[in-house]
Amino acid sequence: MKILLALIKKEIKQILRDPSSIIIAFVLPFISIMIYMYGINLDSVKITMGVKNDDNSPEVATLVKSFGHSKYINSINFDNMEDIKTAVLRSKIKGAVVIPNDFSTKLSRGEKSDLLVITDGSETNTANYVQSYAITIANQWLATSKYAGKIKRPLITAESRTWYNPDLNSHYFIVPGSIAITMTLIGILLTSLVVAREWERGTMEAILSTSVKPMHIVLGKYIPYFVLGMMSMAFNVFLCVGVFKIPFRGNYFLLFFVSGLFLFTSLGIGLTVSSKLKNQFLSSMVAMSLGFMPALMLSGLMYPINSMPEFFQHLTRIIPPRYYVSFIESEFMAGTIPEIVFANAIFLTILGCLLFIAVYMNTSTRLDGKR
Amino acid sequence: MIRDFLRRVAALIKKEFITIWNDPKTKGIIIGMPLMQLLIFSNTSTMEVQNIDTVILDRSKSVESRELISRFEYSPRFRNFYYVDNEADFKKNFDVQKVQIGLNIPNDFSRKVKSRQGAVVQVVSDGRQTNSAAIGAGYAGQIITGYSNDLIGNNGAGINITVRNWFNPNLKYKWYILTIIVSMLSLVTTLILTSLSIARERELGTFDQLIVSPLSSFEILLGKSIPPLCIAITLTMIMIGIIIVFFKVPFVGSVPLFLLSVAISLLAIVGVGLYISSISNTQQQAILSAMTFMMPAVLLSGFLSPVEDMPVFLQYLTYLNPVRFFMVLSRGIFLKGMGVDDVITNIIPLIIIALITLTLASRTFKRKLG
Repeated sequence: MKILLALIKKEIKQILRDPSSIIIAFVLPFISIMIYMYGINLDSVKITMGVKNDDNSPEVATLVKSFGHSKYINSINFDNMEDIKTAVLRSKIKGAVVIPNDFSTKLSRGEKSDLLVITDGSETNTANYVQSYAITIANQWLATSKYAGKIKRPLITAESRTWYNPDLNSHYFIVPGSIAITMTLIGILLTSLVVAREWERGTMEAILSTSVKPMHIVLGKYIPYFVLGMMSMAFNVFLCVGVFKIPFRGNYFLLFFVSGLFLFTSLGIGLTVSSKLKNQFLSSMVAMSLGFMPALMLSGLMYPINSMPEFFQHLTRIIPPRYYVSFIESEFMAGTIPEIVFANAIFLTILGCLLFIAVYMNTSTRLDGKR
Repeated sequence: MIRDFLRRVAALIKKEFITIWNDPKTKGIIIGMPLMQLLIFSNTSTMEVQNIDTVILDRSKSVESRELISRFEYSPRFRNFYYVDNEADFKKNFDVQKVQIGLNIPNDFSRKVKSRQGAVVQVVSDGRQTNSAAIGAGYAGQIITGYSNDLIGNNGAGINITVRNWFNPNLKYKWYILTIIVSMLSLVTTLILTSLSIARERELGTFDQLIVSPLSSFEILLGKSIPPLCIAITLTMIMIGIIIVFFKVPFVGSVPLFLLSVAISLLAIVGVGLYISSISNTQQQAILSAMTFMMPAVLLSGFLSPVEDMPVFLQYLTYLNPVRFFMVLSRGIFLKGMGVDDVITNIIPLIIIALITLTLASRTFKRKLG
């Protein structure tokens, strides 16, 4: 016990003396939450698009105006297709609407008129906004124009409801999700260096020459970084809920309990990599590839797991952030749902214990690598 | 004079290559990790929402409601259907994330359709599951509108929208995301390679030897930037080759312009990495500073949400961001065939970033000793 306390004390001093670990625990979360709050917007993106009107009836002029008046669109008028092509190629506009010359004639006859919508397909995400904005504005205009009487009302309309996030504010799920990313970073990247560093610098030899047991070394690494990670977690939650007023409907005890389990798995990944490779460069490269990038791309935060090919859906089962993202989004937005908390906590516990065993097995107490 | 210069630089380059390349583990990790990630992420990054599980509360139980439901069952995007007969079970299915979409058909549905009064179907989506919920609800809306149009017949005034997606006719998300994934993976590898290179020598004490050698700081700079640049360019080209050959993303631009842009983009990133490395005393400081640079740089590069939609202050900040120009160039030349003048306007900021960071890095080579 004394040995363990000494090792922990040593590790804490190392953390405190190198300001970079404090920066990653407190400054980086602050920067990333600021960016997610102010720099990233997934609900109502403002885009620049072109409008080319070949129909000179006064009624259609109001359609052109309604494109100009929309607060989501910055519209530019064009006279010929060549200019539109150049503007799209140069990314000056994300797309364009072309109104043909028989647009109003057909509507007044009670027929369907064509409207051409052009998008910059190379920016697939904004191309979708161009399409849906154009369709919405055109239909809204039609419903209030003098042709409104000639529209057949739809027999069945879909009434959309979004549960758990009725305001449709994407920040409500992105910001809690960003906690998962920060926690992965602290857990994996920081710890991927700590054992490798001792081997590289030769200080591991000094530790091994004393009467420490592998368990002391393992716990001596887990405990200080666990505490640092949980402090960062508390700071993150304070920023989310206290400063940026992201609604939290769950239970704080459960939030910290499951976050602790998640941190336990992340530390396990970092320490396994570090004690296996014994080289800081290789460990950080592997930690980024096996830890950070999957947390971003495979956790369900950016891309829905359900839509992935079957094989890759199964692959995500071994990625701890998957369970944590599912838990934290639900806990923030829907409150505590026992089935979700329980299922995710179980998987995190299993993965965490397996990784702990892996760290233990890879911790050698002899310089030649044998146990 | 020149020969001596070249000899010295060549010796340092050789030494750098040996430290990176001679260890099979290192070689395997530098090349293998990005390729493995490319193969996994290219398959998993999709916005084409599929396999939607749906809960259905059909209170109408009529011919019309069954017809509507069967249209969902035949849609390839929807997978499993759970039928419930009360609100509580309906909600339960959502709570435990068993379903992403719910259909709530009221009991007057059939009557209102028959009497042509207009019926309403409630489409519920799970707001916890990112924007895939909205996309799924959009598909459901299309199916419902389709059924409605079939019932009333296709006459009356209306607007037919024809969409033309230039450069990507079927609006394949994969074409878009693959160029971004390649840029991101090259960014990560280049940044780790360079940010650790000086910091590692400093931590191990070999940097002092380098400084007391006859090498000038410009020569050290060349020796430190050329090897990682070569490795990064090779790696990027391999990945580009893979996405052209295996994922059939059409390359429409000019090959020389593309090579030039990739080389200069990576040079700017090498500059940032070496600058970070030159101000770090330990590898931990270097890698953590690299992350502190990379997170905002990737998030604000315009691939998650467009730069023009950001607050003005952040828009100006993105002019300092090499990743932004890297992504505009790689996507622009690859998918759109961007012309020379547009390429130049995007390359100039990268050259400026490279010059500033590399100069700053080389200045610290001199100062840091002692």
